[in-house]
Amino acid sequence: MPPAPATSEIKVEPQLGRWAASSNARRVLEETLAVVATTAAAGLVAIGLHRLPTAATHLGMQLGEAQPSLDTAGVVLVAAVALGMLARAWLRYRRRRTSAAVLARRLDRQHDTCDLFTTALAVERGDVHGNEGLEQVVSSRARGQLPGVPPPIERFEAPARAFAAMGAIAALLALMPVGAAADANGSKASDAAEVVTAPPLPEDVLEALRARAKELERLEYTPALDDEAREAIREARERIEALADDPDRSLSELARAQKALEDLERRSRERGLHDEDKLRNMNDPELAEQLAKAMQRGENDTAAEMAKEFSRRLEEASPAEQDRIGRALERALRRNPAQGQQGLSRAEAEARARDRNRLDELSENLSDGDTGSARSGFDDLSEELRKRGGEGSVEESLGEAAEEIRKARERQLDEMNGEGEGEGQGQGEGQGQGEGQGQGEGQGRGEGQAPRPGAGPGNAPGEGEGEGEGEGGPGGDDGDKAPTMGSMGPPGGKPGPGGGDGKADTKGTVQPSTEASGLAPQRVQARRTGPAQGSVRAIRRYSEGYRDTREYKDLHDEYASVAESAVRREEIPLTRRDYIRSYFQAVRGR
Amino acid sequence: MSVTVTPITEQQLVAAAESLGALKAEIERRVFGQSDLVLQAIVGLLARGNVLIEGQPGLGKTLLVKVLSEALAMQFSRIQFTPDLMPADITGSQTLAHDEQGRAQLQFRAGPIFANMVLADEVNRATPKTQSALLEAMQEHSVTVAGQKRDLPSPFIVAATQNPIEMEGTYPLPEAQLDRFLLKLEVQFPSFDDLREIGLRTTGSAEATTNVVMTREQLLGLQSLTREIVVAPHVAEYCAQITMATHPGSPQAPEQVRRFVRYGASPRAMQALILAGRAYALLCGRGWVSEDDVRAVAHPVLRHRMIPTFDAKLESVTNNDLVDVLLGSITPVRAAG
Repeated sequence: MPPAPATSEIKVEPQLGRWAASSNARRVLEETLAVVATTAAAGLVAIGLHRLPTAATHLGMQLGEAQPSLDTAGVVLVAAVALGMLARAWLRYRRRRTSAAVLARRLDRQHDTCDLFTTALAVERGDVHGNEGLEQVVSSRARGQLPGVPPPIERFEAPARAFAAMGAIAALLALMPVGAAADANGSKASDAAEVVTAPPLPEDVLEALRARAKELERLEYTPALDDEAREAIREARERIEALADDPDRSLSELARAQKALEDLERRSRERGLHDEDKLRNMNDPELAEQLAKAMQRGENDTAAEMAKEFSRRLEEASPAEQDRIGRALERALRRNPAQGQQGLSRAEAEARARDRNRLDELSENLSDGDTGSARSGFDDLSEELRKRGGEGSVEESLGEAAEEIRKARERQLDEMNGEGEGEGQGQGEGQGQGEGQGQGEGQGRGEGQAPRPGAGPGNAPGEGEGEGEGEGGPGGDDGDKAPTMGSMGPPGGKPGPGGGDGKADTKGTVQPSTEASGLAPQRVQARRTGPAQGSVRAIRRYSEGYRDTREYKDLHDEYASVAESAVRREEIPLTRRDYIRSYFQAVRGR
Repeated sequence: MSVTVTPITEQQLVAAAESLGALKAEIERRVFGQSDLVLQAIVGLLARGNVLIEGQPGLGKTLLVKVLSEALAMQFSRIQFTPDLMPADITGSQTLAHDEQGRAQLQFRAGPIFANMVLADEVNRATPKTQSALLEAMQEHSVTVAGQKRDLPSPFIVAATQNPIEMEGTYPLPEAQLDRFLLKLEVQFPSFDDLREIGLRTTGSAEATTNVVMTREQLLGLQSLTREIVVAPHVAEYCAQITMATHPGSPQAPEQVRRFVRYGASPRAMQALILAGRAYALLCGRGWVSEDDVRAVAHPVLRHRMIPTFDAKLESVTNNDLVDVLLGSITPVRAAG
């Protein structure tokens, strides 16, 4: 019998436990990799399904309508594979995971130790109750042999098949055609749209906008303005001020500022922007002071609210309080004397003087104790101020600011439309033959809704397929055949090819869709300096057999990206964006 | 050499193994070509079990037991079982004797059972009544004569032999009696070389003698040590699995067991597996029992504990074949953990 080896300090159970943990960690890693690789392969298949219509298009087949179903199938596939693989991994791990006892038996088999390690493990765990001396002998022998045995940890086995499948699917995916044609409606056009930049605003426009920003800043400090309105004004002002820092975003920033101001103006018209609670929280002297100042500055809507508040206070005021209000008004009028009338219209100057006199009278009425006259006087004053509005009123200031921004945007769109292309882009309602000059072109249903007939010299018949009695789309002023192409008509319209040869110095007028943009109707002047050679004309002529030297798809992509940019930058409702995209999808290269 | 049981050290284990090795070598010096038989006989000795030795005449069954007793310097007696053998011939009886004054009195005369090692030769030739007397002594290590219980000397081991080919006029041991034998040893016919060696060594003029290699006390110490050998839970489970699988109605039973076994082994079989496994481990110089030890003793432990069906006899399927099937079909239980 061989002598017992020297006893090691390493105990059997902890050592086997470490090996088991290490072995199990490898199993976990293997199963995790298998799940990841298989799910990734399923993801690649899903991407392949997504691209299938594109590939089919290259093969002359149409699968565009199946796109949603394919996308759904892809998502379901990935989810099902992921869940299935997770369940499989868990089951496999439970089956393959090892323990110290299993490793002990493995060691015994591999090294022909007659269950030495298994028995020693049982001894160390206290599962054996016998002679302590013999238990010590068993444990000592196992510990003596343990350092000499190689760790019974199973090798790491990477899920080669899963990775191979993933690689094969990736290779197949790479071979799938992903041409620009299909991407016109997808990411490529979107990416291209991101790089389209707006032309810089002229200095005079910027100057005007800066003045409006200051005006808005003044409005922010209007007394008793509700917090929501104050925040909206501040946001609009910051957007305008940000133009100097980031001109590329001017289109979107201006659009948002305009939208915000118009919303505020509408709200002011409907229910006012003042916070009654704030008015009620002012004490009498403060309210009188602010009333006097508002009237001095022509902020008639603010002054109207304050006059109304005085009327309310007088309703329940004691004689002493009435007297106090009267004195407060008197002091306020004294501190805010009438100012010069420079810059004001005569009617406005007279109205302000009249209002001041009435306030003075009301003060005297209160000092005399004539509360009834004073209350009715405040009511009348409030009503009159509200009706009259005024140049300094919040509502009017907001409207003016919105109008200023709208003009700036028109200028900018003008620049964009006129650059090189000589073509107006927009959405026109109704068009057909312009009477007069140029030719309004576009698509859509013209049912006698042409915003205005074309005017000016011109003799080219318009081309359009408007349904109904559309007459005269927007046309250029001076050109013979200024082709103005509305890219989209309103819903229900029938696309009609349009186009024409423009001449130098023609002006097309484009009527952007109010409904689509959500903004006030606006007109964009597109100046043309020569024969139109842009994308749209090329698209149309291409359909007529004309062959440009450039690739059609390049032209299409270029134009589609501009449209996509407009769709993104303008606040066009989501439901309408698809019409624009559908159009470019319809005329994409085959 | 002295072997103490508690606490047991590595050195004591080594000494025990050396001592047993010497015993085995001494026996094999006299009994040629029966190495496995000798080993199993020592296993039975260490486990304090009685053994049933079966083999054709002239294969050395009696010699084995005699040499074993000589090597251990134990009191040996041989009982030749015949049909007219009476229980009192085994246990002893009271006889009328006269003392010096001439007075008559009953005096107990011990039978041949009162020895450390009893050889019951051709035990199946005695009647069941006589066989029962022997088996009672085997079980109780005592006999009762004339209402008085008398203890048998320690150690007490019965080695019974039987001849499997002469069944005429025999009384085969019933299954319940067979179960009391720890092991059933089968004496195989020696190989050609061993047969030649037997011829050369045993026919000379020199009378062979056996050296004493172990005292009675040493043997008792080793028997105690055997009971201390460590048995891990997985080994006990393995023994239980084997025992369960011998029963044809057990789910673990292999198909052949279901077909060829009428009754399986009793729980005493499982005890015998563990006990014999302990003795085998000690013989190998180990302080713990392995599954291999259990497999090594499975045949002598189980072969007489399964009652075969008639189909087994028809198809010449022996119990040894069935044990092979059992050992091949049972996968050791993975230790929990």
